[in-house]
Amino acid sequence: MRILVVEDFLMLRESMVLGLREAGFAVDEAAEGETGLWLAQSNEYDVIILDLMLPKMDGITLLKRLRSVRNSTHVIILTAKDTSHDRISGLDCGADDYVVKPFVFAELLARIRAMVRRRYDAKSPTIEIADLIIDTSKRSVVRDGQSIELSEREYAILHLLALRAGRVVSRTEIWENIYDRNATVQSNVVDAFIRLLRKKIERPHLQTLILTRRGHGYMLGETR
Amino acid sequence: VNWSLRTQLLRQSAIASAIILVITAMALHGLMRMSLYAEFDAALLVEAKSLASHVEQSGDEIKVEISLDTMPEFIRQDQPHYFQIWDAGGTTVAKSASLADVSTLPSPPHFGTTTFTPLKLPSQGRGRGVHFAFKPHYEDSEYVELSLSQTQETNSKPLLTLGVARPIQELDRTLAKLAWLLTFVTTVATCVTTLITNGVIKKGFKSLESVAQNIEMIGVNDLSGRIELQSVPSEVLPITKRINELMTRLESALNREKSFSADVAHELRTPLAGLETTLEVCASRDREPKAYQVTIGKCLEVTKGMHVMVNNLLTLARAESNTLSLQLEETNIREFLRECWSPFSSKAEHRGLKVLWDNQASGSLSLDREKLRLILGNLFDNATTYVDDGGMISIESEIRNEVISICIVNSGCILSQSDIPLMFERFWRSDKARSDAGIHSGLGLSLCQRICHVLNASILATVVGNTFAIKLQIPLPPQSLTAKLHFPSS
Repeated sequence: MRILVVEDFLMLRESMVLGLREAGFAVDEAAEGETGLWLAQSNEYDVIILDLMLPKMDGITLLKRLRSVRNSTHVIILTAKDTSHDRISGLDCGADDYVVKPFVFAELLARIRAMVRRRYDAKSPTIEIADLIIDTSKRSVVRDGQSIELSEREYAILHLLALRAGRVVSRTEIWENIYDRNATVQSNVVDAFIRLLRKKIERPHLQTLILTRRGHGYMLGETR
Repeated sequence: VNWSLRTQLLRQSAIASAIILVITAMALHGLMRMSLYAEFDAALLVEAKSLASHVEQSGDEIKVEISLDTMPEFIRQDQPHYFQIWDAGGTTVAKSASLADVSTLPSPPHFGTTTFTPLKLPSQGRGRGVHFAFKPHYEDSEYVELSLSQTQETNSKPLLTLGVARPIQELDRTLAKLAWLLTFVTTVATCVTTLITNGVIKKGFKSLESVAQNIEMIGVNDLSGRIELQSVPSEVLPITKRINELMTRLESALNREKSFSADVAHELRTPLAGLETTLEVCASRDREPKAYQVTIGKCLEVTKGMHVMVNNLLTLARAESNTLSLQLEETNIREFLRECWSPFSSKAEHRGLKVLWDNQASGSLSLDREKLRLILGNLFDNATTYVDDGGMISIESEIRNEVISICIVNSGCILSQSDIPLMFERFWRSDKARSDAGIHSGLGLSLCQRICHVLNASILATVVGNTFAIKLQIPLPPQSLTAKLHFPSS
């Protein structure tokens, strides 16, 4: 999952980016409105966390500009402005959620997860594919009754494949959802992570869940 | 009881019109009474004279020759008139049958003159009488009425005094009727006047009521409403205008207060959110000791910034509530400028800045050190923060025309001339300063301006190209001028 954080206060931005990355998200960041808009229009994000009082371009203008080009990315406004008028104005401009500073980071994470579920039309935090159960709230994975330990990136890839279960996800999409735009890693890193995932998830006596579609990408689902 | 203006006016005008009407009625009644009495007296005198013409004297004998046909009023039983005749010595010589044997009329107050007196009749009723002097008929002579003096001078015949009295029941009844009529008319007139006055006042007060409704509609929390001036009567127009002006000032003050509170909340919330998130993320898993050290360092930096902001806010609040007073101390200006700069010298060195000093001002001056230190601290902090790396800062001072000027100039300015009026507003920050939220809160210049106001000083900012200059001009108190003469500028 890929998140964009647009926040001018350095300390808060750095902490949110760190916390989100540790939660398994690919995170891009911007310290002012113009860069934030450029990033939001150049990349596909699952959620944008947007401050309102920003240098160069304020959050409301950024949001309006984004919606004017039919960009439907979920936006969470994160601001110190707490009046009803501010909330109404923010939500009416196209924001999906409004969080007032100071906030509990765990709650922000939960809201982001809920946004991600909504994006992929998943109502429950638990995704079940055959005997594989992924609990997104606890970030736990169980197959055939056995708990599986996954690294942050492995979990991120499995979560993405699970949200789009039954559909092919290209390598580029997987890449974009686990690495931010500044990452400098080798191009076969996605295949390497898929191999690691298969080792941990697939069992000889159980049906194969991670399928390769040559030339297209990978798919999570039951084999027919 | 708080009577309404309308009720008060109505009550007072009703009382006033009632008083006027009662006085008018009383005067009218008095005039009518006088007129009726005059008429009555005239009739009484005519009656007396007529009676006198029937009085004859033959020797010492006085005869009153009247009959039921000629003058029945003195003879009849029902409400009779009365007469009595006295000689010059005051002895009764004749009286009407109606006076009976024992009753008499009051003696004339002055013999020989015509006088009218109210009196009590023998029938116990109220009456009115007339006394006048006359000469009775003698054989072959006519009745003559004379005043006593004329009589004595011109005629030696004895003079008689005739007193005639008659009841005034009819007159009293007429006057009583008139009194009742006037009372009724006065009461009705008072009521009608009150009703008309009420209508007039109501109509007159309609515009005032509309003003009152307008004022009533102004909410406690929303002061945006104003009183419509079109329908306001000219008498209260100045008051209404003042109320509107007051409302404008109140609204502006309230908005400023709201904006200030919101700004304070915002400026404290952002660094607080930063602290909370940083600590929460840090505590979410086990980390290397160095990671904890970095987190603590970051948090400390932000808390210091918050500390400065809270102190600035308190000083600003004190300055705005005029609770700051001047504390003048003898200060060596050159040493003081260096002293204020010293906390920033290492920062300037670290950033490779070129610092130019041009201190023409010197000597011992009477200055408020602490307030000036606060101003200079803010200005030096801004200069060392917003100057470009390796840039230039110039600090100049001079004394001219009893004013000390301190000018701080820095290069690398990205502000425009349009930012100048905004930079003295509370919480205004340039885009460059925004990302330092919690460290630079945008209060410094606002605080400097307020303190300058306390010092009776001026602060002026200018931007020329990429150079930013800020100039302080502080008038020196009289005692400082002497000091200046002892230490002339170099």
